[in-house]
Amino acid sequence: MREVAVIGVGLHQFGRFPDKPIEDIGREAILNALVDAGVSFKDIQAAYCGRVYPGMMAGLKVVSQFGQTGIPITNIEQACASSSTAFREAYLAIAEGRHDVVLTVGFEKMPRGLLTGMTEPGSLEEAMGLNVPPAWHAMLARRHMLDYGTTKEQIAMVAVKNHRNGLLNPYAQYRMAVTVEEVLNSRMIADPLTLYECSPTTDGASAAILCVKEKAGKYKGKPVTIAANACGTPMFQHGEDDELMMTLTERLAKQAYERAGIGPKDIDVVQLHDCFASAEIIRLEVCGFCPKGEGGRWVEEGRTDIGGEIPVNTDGGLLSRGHPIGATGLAQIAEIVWQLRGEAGPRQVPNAKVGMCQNTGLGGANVHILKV
Amino acid sequence: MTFTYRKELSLVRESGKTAGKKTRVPVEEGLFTLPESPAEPPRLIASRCKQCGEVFFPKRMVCLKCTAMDMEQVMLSTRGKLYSFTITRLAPPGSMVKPPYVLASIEMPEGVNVHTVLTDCDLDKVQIGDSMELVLETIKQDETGRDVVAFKFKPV
Repeated sequence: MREVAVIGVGLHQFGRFPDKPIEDIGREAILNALVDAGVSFKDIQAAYCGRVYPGMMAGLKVVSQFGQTGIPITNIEQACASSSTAFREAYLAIAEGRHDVVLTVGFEKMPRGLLTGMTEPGSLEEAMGLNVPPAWHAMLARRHMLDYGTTKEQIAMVAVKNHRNGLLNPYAQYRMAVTVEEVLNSRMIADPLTLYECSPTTDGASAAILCVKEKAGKYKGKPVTIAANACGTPMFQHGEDDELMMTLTERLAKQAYERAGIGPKDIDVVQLHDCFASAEIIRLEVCGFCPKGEGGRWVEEGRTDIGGEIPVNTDGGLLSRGHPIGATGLAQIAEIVWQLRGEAGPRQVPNAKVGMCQNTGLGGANVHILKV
Repeated sequence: MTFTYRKELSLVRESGKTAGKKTRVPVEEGLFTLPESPAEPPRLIASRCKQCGEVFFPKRMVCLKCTAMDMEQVMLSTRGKLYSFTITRLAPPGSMVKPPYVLASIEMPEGVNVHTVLTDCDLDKVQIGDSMELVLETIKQDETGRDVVAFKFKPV
């Protein structure tokens, strides 16, 4: 396996752009990543594209705006983990020697409201009203509250922290400070989860340029090395299904630490998949950053703040930065790249050398560890 | 050992219309029994792997645990324990249940959790661990006027 580096990243503003075609949204993120890396599109040997709602051959439509150079352009759909899987494929293609310079991009335009398309129209799940992701996470949160004493205030503090971080991120969808009271008093979605504790629907795009490390010096972009990837889907477990993939996330985090030769204590900054505020607490635990059941207390004590022991979701996370499901994974990568280069501005974690991204989708999950 | 999948694999979740002149039809075939007599309790139809013993609901033709294709049909108990629940204020498009309603996960004695909707339940009193019982409920009429029946759980 060859060493691989990220040499450029770029985003399109996260928000709602109903009148903007997906080609324009995706193009801007790719352009920003190419400029950041100092790479001409002529040098790109393959592209891997994550997206969920944009339709057939969306990757070709978005990427080939930069030139019909004949490269393979692969579309990847893994629900909320689409673009982290695209990133993984780009990483492996270079690591295994197929290509030297690869583009990976995630772009998304979402309908408002609950996620749709998980089951066929007319399915039992749809007819019985079972397809409600916030309700699934609410049930898991209620269980966590009972089993470990996590409080609804602690869950609200995740939303408070992530909105505070998002306020410092010009790409974030919601740049507003909120208080614990405002979070708890916002519209109830599925108790205990309120509106501000649920990630929004979002339009946006994110891109990264990857290069075999030995040739990264040819380009101006400051390289950030990919230390490990772990990718997978749930393994059978007796009783409660691993539908929200917390057991899977635990397994992938362990694999990623082993492959990188480090442990959770060596991570300076992490992006966790905070699709719901309670999920960040549970993922903090299953990734080994704190003991099981203590995630809520860690958030309450500020240990996950910028400046804390393990800063989590420094860019605002899914809750504040937004969650364009096909573009979220690469937005996490972009934030970690900026953090490790020391370019994160007012939300910079001092002296960050090792970062992690954890992205979970209903189609699978990824953990990536990056380092400088 | 040569391993071949049988054709029944394609029949896992048939969603066909029920033939005959029934006045009640299930929302989906093969999920639960629809007893003629009110005295007979309905049951959820599950699969048990004859190789490893794992139980699945809804029924499956291949065991998710050991991948064997050696399943037998079993009926789940009529009662289980409330594993967790929430009152959802949102329903997906196409839902026949109108919000707010209680979504729940029921831990069955056979070692399988069933996702369902709770009915007849006092929200001030319901608690994780409570005993819950399977019930059938009409959720709509189809185009020929028959009752379309779904399963829910209610506190015992």
